[in-house]
This record gives sequence, structure tokens and C-alpha cells, in this order.
Amino acid sequence: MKVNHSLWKAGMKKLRCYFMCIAVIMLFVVTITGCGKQESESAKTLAITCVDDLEGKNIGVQIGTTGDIYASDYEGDEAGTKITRFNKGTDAVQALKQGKVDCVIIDEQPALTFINKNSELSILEEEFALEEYAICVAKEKKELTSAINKALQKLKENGTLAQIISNYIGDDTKGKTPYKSLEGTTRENGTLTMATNVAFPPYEYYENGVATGIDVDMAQAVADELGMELVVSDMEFDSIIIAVQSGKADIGVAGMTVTEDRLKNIDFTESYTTAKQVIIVNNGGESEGLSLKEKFYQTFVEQGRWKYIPLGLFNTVIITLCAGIFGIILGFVFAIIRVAHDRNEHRTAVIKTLNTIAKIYLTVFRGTPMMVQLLIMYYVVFASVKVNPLIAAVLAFGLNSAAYVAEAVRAGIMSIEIGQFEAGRSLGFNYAQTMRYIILPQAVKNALPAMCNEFIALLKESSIVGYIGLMDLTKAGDIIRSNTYEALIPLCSVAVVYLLIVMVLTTGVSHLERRLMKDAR
Amino acid sequence: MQDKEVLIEIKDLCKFYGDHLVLDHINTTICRGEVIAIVGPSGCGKSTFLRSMNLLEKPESGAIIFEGINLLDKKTNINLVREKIGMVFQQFNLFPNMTVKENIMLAPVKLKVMGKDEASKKADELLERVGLSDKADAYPGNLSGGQKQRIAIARTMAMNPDVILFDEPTSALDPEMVGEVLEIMKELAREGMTMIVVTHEMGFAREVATRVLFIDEKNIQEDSEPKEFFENPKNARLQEFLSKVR
Repeated sequence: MKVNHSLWKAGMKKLRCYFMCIAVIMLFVVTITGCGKQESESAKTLAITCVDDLEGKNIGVQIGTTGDIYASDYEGDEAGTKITRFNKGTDAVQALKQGKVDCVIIDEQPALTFINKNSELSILEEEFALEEYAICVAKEKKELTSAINKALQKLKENGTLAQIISNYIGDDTKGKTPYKSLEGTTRENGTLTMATNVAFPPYEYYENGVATGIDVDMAQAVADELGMELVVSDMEFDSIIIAVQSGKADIGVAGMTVTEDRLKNIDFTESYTTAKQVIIVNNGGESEGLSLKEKFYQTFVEQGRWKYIPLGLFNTVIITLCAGIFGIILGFVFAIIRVAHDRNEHRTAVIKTLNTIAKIYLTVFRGTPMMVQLLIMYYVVFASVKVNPLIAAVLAFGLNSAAYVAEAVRAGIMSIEIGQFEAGRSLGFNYAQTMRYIILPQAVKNALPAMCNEFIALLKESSIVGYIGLMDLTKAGDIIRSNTYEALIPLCSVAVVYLLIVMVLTTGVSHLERRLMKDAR
Repeated sequence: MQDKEVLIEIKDLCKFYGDHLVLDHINTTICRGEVIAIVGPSGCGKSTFLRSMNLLEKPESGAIIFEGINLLDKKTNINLVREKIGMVFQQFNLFPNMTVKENIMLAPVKLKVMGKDEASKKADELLERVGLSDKADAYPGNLSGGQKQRIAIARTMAMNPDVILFDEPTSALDPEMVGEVLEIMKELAREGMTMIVVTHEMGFAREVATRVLFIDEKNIQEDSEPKEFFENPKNARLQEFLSKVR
């Protein structure tokens, strides 16, 4: 009777979880498709046919690009022009498809790729601006700048650069002249790290999981000339200049135009190609709607894109686990310092100092956004040191988590009667032994629910590591999305994976809690 | 009893709470095998006095000399001394996350006073002595108050202490459970254990104690054998106190 009952309960629980998942997915579908349709109809009435029509419209740009800089001149004008800034060009285009913006100003080549894949989009004949692309280098590295200039000069003269560009641009020449490093190229001069934002075809994009494109090949050719090993580091576009400035990367190559503002912070080499800024609009045409099955195929099967998900998941799990363990250890130390201070009448100077440090630490780390802490860790603390971004992320998240664990554990310890402590001391245990054998086992039990919540928060918060160039689960979904121009399946899959992990964690902890509860009876 | 060997000597002991003096130059000597009952009105400092003897309260001046060692000397390792001074609390303070037997075995094993097997044997013996052998695997949450206090006594006995301090051991108990705890304490006294007991149980003080101390006004006002203490009190405040508790 009892067995049957618990079996039935377990079955119901599974069913409930299953329904919960379905409900979440449905919610996503309804929101995304619903919003898309509604707004694209209103977009049809607001036609843009030339540059003069931009006034008063909602212009989509990629943040930090020249398109952003030029379009910003319109911002706040009398016509009420609005600029919407996206992290990626592909995000801007997706917003245009869904009618969230009226047009997108972007470099010509990526624009051509976008309209090829999306028949309802077209490029206006009148170009928005002409510009030259160059490589950015830190101001301190004058020697590197002149070495690259020399290499570029050579590549222009021997026609290599023209070959690289025509391999990606031009219907007749595409794919005919791929760049290959010369045999016998030596790499004794170390590595050349290139900061870029791999979502800008044909300059840089992912093909079969490898970053490729004009910029990548050009940088490879330059590295070959310099006798260096090229390393590509994918990050948000607006992080590139900071990465180069702080020495995280040696060069920044991302279809970057020389502008006044940028020259204040960074040096540029000679230009390696010219390009146009163009305007993409929604022509009101019907998009070739893909069925869910086709979308699924496109997202996971085509080009083996599913591989991004386990790769990203691996990083997410590593960061959460390592930061979690680090946070628990450090959090316990801080909690014990705080308790040693609060529960002791005879405070020594050492305890007082440590307690003050702990208090400041807790205030700062709980009082500032995780995102800001992560960026500070990578771009300020490790500014002059080359560090694996994974280590920077583990440190940043671990330090943040420690602050929350410390408070949870402190509350756990403070909820234990002082008599427990006195009983321990009167038996002959010293302070540390009393903590270890008597207080902490009980305190941990009290703190367990709060610590579990912190761990779940940590898992979800790790989704911002894309900002320092790491590919986690969220970024994996983003990469797929920027390849397929399709948001539904990648985003929902990522959400479901997070949800599943959290559900497994929650179940595990409630099991543990129940077991500990039984002991107390 | 045996010839008088001094176990604890207390000299000019003073204790402040902030600026407030609670113990004012207390002097007394406790010999091995004595059973001292400490009585007095609430708030007189009798618990503070008791808790000073194992430094759960830290006196500001004076000396507590236990087996020749001054506890207030900075060089003294108080943890080693506390192994020899047992303590039983009003609120029992059993460890709720451990079984009864684990409660008893924790200190001897972790402090390496004895091996696990020896400690287990000792715990079984003690459980039998306090009449709770059947509760070895129970958790404190499932015991009555009287049972808890009997386990607490067994726990402190496991360290083979030279003296046991009792801080109002029966005050938190329902009346019908007081007897079972006092019975265990009487037996300990008969076996020659040195005990210092802060109590409101005048019956216990009269029957079991070898000496009774009356503390009031920050000091010991009367220190005599129970017969003398109860039948012929000299201190006026003690006379008043006894008239109230009787």
C-alpha cells in the first residue's frame, strides 16, 4: 500500500515536471511568434527609400560600429529619430525582420549576406557612407604597428590581399582563391592574438565551428609574414578595443573603421580594404517561412551546429562548479571571521581588522552587479596580465558567490544556540574544533537551502561570460542564432537545458535536506 | 571521606560585566571528594562564579588554581584543563544532530583521550549507569528532559573529569523528572566524585552536599556544613533567604 502510494507520487511528480517544461516552451513560442507578426505589419506603412527618410525612424545598429557612430548624429533630432543598439549585426537584422526597428545601418558585405538569406530584406541603392577598414593596435606597441604596415604593404603588392577579398566577395570569384599559409612558414616569434566579433560575414563568421572570413585570412597572412601564430579570440564588438588596449589581445580586426574617437584610445595600421555603410530595410515581401522541422534541422543538424551546445554547456558547468567550490571555501572563511567577531567579548585587533575587511568585502560584492564585477576582473584587474578568460570568470564568480555564501553560513551559525558552543568548549575542544565538530555540521544544515539558491543563481548568472570572450551555453545559442537568423529553437533549447540542470539540482538538494532532517529526529 | 587534598583554590576572584562588579574578591578552597552546593537569590552571581571555574566567564583578576595550575595564567592551555573539569548545563546542550552514543563518544575520540573501541565500551557502561542503554541510537530530540540531562551527565563523565560543575541541572525540568536526575547525582557523590552544584534544590543540598555556600552581595556570605547551614544560619540575609525558600 505504502509502496504503491509513493510510486504514484513519484509518477505524478515526473508528469508535473514534464508539463512544466512544455508550458515554458509554449510560452516562448507564443511570445516570439506573436510579437513578430504584430509589429511587422506596422513596419510596412513606414517605408524608407533614401537616406533622407531616416529622420524620425527607429534605426538599428550594432553597438560601437561606424554605423552606430554615424547614425548617432540623428539621435535626439526634432523628428524624434531613435537609435536601437544591438550587440551583434545579426541581432539588428533579426529585429528588423520582426519589425522592431525600421531599418539597419551596417557594413555592405555583411548586409549582402543577410539579404541573401532573408528575401524580405533589401539594401537601399543609396549608400549611407564610405569607409576604410584597418587593424587596431595598442598605442604602446608602435613596433607591432609598423611591422604590420610593412606586411600589409607586401600583401597588397603581391596580390595576396586582393585574392583573399575576392575569395569572399564577388559571385564569380567566391571560393576560388582560398588563402593558405606558405609551406615552411616559421612561427618562432610567438602568438598574435586577434580580438574580433565573429558575427560579421564575410569578414568574420563561423563555418563548421571555426572562425573564418576576410579579416581572419588577412590576419593569418599578416601573422605568416611576421612569423607568428595567430589566435582568434571571439568577444563582443564593444570589448575589442578595450581588449587590445589592456593587452588581452595584440590586434583588433573586425571590419573596424578609423574614427576620431577611436584614435584617442588606440592606433590603427594602414587600411586593408574599403567598404560602404548601407541601409537594410524590410521590403514587405513574404519571407520563406520554415517549418518547425526545417528550423530544427537548420539549428542542430546543418553544419553540425549542435556541437556548440555541449561545448558551451561544458564551460557553463566548469565555471559554475569551480566558482561554486571556490565561493563556498572563501564564504566559510568570511562567515567564521564575522561570527568570531560578533560572538566574542574579548576582540583582539586581528579579529577586528579581519571583520572590517570582511564587512567591506560583503558590501562591495553584494552591492555591485555581477556583470560589472566580471568586466572589472578581466579588463582592469588582469589588464596587464595575459590570463585565460575561464580563470578570470571562475575568480569573478567565485568571489561574488563567496559574499552570498558567507551571509548564508553566518546566519546558519548564528541560529545555533550559544549553549552548543559552550558545551563544546567545556568538553575541552578549542575554538576551531568546536566549530568543526559541533557548530558547522548544524549550521550547514540550516544554511543549505540558501546555499542551494545561491548555486542556482550562480549557474544562471554565468550566462554573461560571453562578454569576456568565453563560449558558454548562452553564447552557444547565440552563435547558432547568428548563423541561422532564427531565434526560437536555439534560445528555447538553451533555456530548456538551463531549466533541466536547475531541476536536477533542486531535486538533489531537497533529497539531501530530507536526509539531514531525518538525522535530527 | 579521604584526607583533604586541595583540588581547586580560588583567590581574590573579581568579575565585571562592563563597569558592573558581579564578583568581589572571592576566596575559597575545594578539596577532592567534596560536594559543594551553591545557593543564593537569583542574579547574585552564583552561576557566574561557577562558570568562572572553567573560564566560560573570564574573571578580570584573581587566581583559580586547579591541580596546581593557575587557569588565569596566560601560558595555561585552558583546553587541556577543561578536559578535567566536566560541566552540566541547565539547558542540557546535547548535540541534536548526533545520536545519544555519538554525543558521549565525540569528545573522548576527537580529543584522542581514548580509542574508538574503548570510547564505545565506556559509553555503553555510562549509559547503563544512567539507565538509558536502550536509547543509545536515539536522537536527543526524542528524549524527555530528565533523560536528556542524564545523557548530558554521561557525556561529561566520558572524559573522566576530576570535578564536575553543575549549573542548575534540574531547573529546566518538569517536577516529576527532577528525581531521576538527582538520583544519578547522588550516586556520583557516593562514589567520591568532586562536584560543585548551583541549585535551588534545598533537599539535595541538605542530604548530599558536604558543604553549602550562600552567595549574595557579590561574595560568599556563609560557608558551612549542611546541618549547620540550614539549622543555625548566622548571616541575616541567609536567614531571610531560607525563610522564603522553605
